[in-house]
Amino acid sequence: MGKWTRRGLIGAGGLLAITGVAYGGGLLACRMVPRHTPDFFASLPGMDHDALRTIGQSVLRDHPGLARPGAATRLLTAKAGIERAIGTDCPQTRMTMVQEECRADFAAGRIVLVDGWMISETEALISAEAATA
Amino acid sequence: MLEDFRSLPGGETFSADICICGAGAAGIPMALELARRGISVILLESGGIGLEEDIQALYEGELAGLENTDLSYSRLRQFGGTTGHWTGQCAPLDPLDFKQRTAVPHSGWPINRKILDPFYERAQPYLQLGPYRYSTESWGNELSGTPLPLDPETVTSAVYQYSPPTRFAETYQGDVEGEENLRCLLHANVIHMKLASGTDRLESLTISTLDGKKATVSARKFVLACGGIENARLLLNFNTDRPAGLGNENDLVGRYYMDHLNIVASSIVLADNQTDLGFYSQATTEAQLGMALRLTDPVIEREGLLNNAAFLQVVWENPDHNDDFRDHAWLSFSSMAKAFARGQVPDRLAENACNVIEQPGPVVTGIYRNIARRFTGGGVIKAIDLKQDAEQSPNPDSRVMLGEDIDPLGMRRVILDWQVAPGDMDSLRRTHMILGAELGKAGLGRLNLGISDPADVTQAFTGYHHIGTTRMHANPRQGVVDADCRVHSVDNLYVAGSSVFTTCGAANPTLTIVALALRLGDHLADTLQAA
Ligand SMILES: Cc1cc2nc3c(=O)[nH]c(=O)nc-3n(C[C@H](O)[C@H](O)[C@H](O)COP(=O)(O)OP(=O)(O)OC[C@H]3O[C@@H](n4cnc5c(N)ncnc54)[C@H](O)[C@@H]3O)c2cc1C
Repeated sequence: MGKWTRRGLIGAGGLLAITGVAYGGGLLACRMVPRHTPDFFASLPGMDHDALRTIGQSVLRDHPGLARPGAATRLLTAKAGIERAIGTDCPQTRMTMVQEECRADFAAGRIVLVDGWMISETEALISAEAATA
Repeated sequence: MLEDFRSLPGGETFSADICICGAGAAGIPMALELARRGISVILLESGGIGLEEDIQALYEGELAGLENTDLSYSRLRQFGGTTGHWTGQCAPLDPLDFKQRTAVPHSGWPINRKILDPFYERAQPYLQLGPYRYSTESWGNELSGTPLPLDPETVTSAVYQYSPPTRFAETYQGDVEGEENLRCLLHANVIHMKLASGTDRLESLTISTLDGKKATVSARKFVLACGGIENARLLLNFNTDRPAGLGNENDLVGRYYMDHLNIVASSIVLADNQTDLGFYSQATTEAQLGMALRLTDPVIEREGLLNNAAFLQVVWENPDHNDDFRDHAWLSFSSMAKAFARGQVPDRLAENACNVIEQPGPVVTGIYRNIARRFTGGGVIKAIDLKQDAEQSPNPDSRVMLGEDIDPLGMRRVILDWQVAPGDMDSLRRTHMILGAELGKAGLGRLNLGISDPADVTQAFTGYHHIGTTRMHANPRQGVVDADCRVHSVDNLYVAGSSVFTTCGAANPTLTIVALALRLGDHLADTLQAA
């Protein structure tokens, strides 16, 4: 089962596969907004920050370039869907947009293998962001 | 007619139109059908009605290759053959399996699925299966539940049926006894085959009991139906007329040995952990069905992959829902419980009871969980493991050979050098990666890849399927038998069983074994009657 614990994986799978991705997108979006609420995750119900960071650390281990300040953010904001999500206030719409982006990644083969898990590039970048925060 | 050779006088010559060696899944249906067409048949069986340890020990040998297999437990040397402990999962080979595939060296059968279809249909009742329908379309609205909404251009549902499983000994003993044209001799081990001098025609064979009583059997045509390993072992042992063994002029007998790669690896975490997966295992009024995820033919061909069907093995959040207690002890217990519930005495009662007594743990767990499930309701899915019998590619270096050890019948014992190529595992890994991408694309979940890179072939365990050792090919330099299952270099010797498969596909072999046996039976009857 790789290096992640079963609980972490389930958390991560749930997190990444469904709402977590959206929340991650939401997190990123809110980062772009100049506010003093850096620990945005803390205000989101049901988030497993540890799992997200664990995944992010694995992503950074395999792709150390993403640890450079702003690297993951730049790549994320280059994605049109994420760009649109950032500009959206409604969490539900934002969630859908990030999910769409993840699906589009899979369809286009933009897949990252992290400790055996096949995740979308968007998810990898969001979790890398969380790990560097 | 069913007789024990031990109680007949030795030194006799038995004769019939057709002599079939081996009363297992291949031998019994063929013998019955030939006899019903008015052809006299002798069916020779090494074992008795039940398990006898000294006879079963004739199957012992040595492993030289991958050790995740075995030679004795995976076969049964008794009337009914290995159907005495098969599990009953059935499907025909896919049309693609018969094709010559550029990515799969040595692939390409000299027959195709269309040719086999009518025989598959006739084989179904022998295995107590439902109608010959192996696509979701053919079951139409008889199916309940819905498949995961995956892109149909890439992923499809492979349909399997489940036999009770049919134990050929119990199911067909009465038929064999009642068939006038059929004479089945128990405890009759085939130990020698003799060509008529200066010809390519088999004249007779010799049978022997374990304590040395011998007799001769002559026939117009002979069929070897002793299982995927033993067919090759016998041909290699029959080397008095042909030094390399019968049919082995081109050093092919025993080579291209394949098994299905029995692997539980890669798991899926679903976005919705209460997804209804009832579609993947269901019963209609006519059959018990199981569905597996399979890549479509165009994807398999485009990607140059081997065939695979991945069954979804659910890991429940609440362990009460898990089925990991289902080992041999549990299967024995449940078959006894079902028989008692029907008011019958269970088959193989002593054997089954001992399995339970020796390992009560899983049975107790199983009973507890089955009761607990009634109170806990629908479960939460923790993960889904992919379980498969994946195709392995034909490889001449994966082989059955003879060792120096001699068995009590004076025959050299077998050495099995099972080789799994790293490419076989790479193909499965790529298959799982495509499934993972499709799950992500559909927003259904994420897949954790369980096949390592570089490949670790020790992840593969035997599927208990012994395939390819007398492969079918139109060219005698590439196969031992021709499209009619006749040994290329012997006019009247035929082979039945999975040893004739050119490639192994992903389907379990027994339905194809029976279909090919029925086809061979027709061919033998037609040619005999025409003559
Ligand atoms: C645990 C287990 C589970 C399985 N599950 C499945 C499944 O789910 N689906 C599936 O399709 N297949 C399954 N199989 C495989 C299935 O049992 C075989 O494919 C099938 O029985 C092979 O049929 P056969 O007639 O070729 O060989 P067998 O059934 O093995 O019959 C060969 C016969 O030849 C006799 N014999 C051998 N040597 C001699 C000799 N020298 N002289 C005379 N007689 C001889 C033997 O005693 C035996 O009766 C399973 C196997 C095992 C072990």
